[in-house]
Amino acid sequence: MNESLIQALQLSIKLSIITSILLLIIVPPIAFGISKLPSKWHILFEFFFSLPLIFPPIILGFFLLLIFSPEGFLGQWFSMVFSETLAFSFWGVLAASFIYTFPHMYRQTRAAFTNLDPRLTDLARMLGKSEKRIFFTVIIPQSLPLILKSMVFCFSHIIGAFGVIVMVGGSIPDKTKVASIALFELVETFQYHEAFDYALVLMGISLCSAVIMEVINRLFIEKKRKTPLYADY
Amino acid sequence: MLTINITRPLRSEKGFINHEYHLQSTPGECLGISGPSGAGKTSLLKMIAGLMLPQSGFIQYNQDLWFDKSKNLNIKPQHRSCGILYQDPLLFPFLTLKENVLYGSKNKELADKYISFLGLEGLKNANIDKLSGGQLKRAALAQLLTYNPDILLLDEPFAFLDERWILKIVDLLFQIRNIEKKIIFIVSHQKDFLASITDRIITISNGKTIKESYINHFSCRKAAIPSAYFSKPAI
Repeated sequence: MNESLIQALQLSIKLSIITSILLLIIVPPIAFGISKLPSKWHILFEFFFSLPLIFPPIILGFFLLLIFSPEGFLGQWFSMVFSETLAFSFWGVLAASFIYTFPHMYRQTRAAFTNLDPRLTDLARMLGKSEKRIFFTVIIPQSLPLILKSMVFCFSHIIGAFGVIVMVGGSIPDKTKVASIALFELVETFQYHEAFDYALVLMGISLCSAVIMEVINRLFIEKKRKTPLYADY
Repeated sequence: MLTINITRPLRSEKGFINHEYHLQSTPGECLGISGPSGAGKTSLLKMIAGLMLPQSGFIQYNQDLWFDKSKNLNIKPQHRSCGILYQDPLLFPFLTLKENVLYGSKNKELADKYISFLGLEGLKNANIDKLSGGQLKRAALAQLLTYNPDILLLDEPFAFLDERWILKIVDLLFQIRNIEKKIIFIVSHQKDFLASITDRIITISNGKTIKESYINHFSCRKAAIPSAYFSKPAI
């Protein structure tokens, strides 16, 4: 495997890790805030946050490119603050992959919060804990396995993302040329042997993610469901 | 003194019935609440603790107004000094037994005292899913007593427990009542059992208080406790 392919793989992994961490930090408070709103607001947010999931990736990428370009409102703001263009930069690709995976992470996290056992939060309230403390000591430990599982899914999703990234970032080595674009270029130039090896490596990463998700599922989610601790009161 | 004067419609077999609760309790009183299933006994405890909202009326503890519909006042459960022990023991599944007991209070001395008294010493570091029903019940009681609220709301506190533990816990509750002057509510559908351990029994049915019985001091009745508990319910 040549150096440029390794570079593209490293960039993909870096992009996936940063996006996953951002999702883990940003999405749970948003999802929790929304889960506390009256249900009529849920439909509105659900619709708005589902848009990146509904649009085909290439179309989503195209609209993001318009917004991230120096004439777009986000691109203009970014250039003003950081003196750098957002489109065709690593930051642009990072923002695009965050938006691309946000709906999945949001839906899973909100489901985790909605399915919480309300009796445990009541118990914590009765034992004198503030709402903030209940969030960190009861709600997060209860929903963390599902949140982590969906974070691993998003990580694996970004490793293979193509349409949205190629639209926003193009193919600039060491900046925006991620593994999926490198694989596409290998096929485009008829280097099938290298493309096969490279695809195997990407598949290996996806399989590892699947194993981690299954471990989380078996150890924490399924086990929790089987624990006959509570009955209705 | 705890004064309760509230109403709330609750679902029953005949549809929604307006439940009325009017009662007073003084510090150091052990009050029994009896009634058939669905009479609204647990709901009363939840409303006192602030986990369920009454439709009208007020709840006052000493000088503090905890709930008053006319003033739109509702003090959060965190700021009412009361704790519920549920019929089905409820603990945090992601914490060990000792962490659970210490969740509401950092008083390690008190936690150790109750863990030891309730025979849970060897299970301090055990995960909650490894405990039996009786052990869970005793752990939940240890958690509540370590939190040390002014008002103890106990919903069928002796379910899952054997005779030895029932006697020990009754003794402990009497000590708490007499020395610490706490108000203790004990909910049970077994009236005979309540008669052997409480000072007064309030019987609720169809959302109304149908009977209020005053009972002599329990200590002379202690011998009758196990047989009263293990006998068939009076209702």
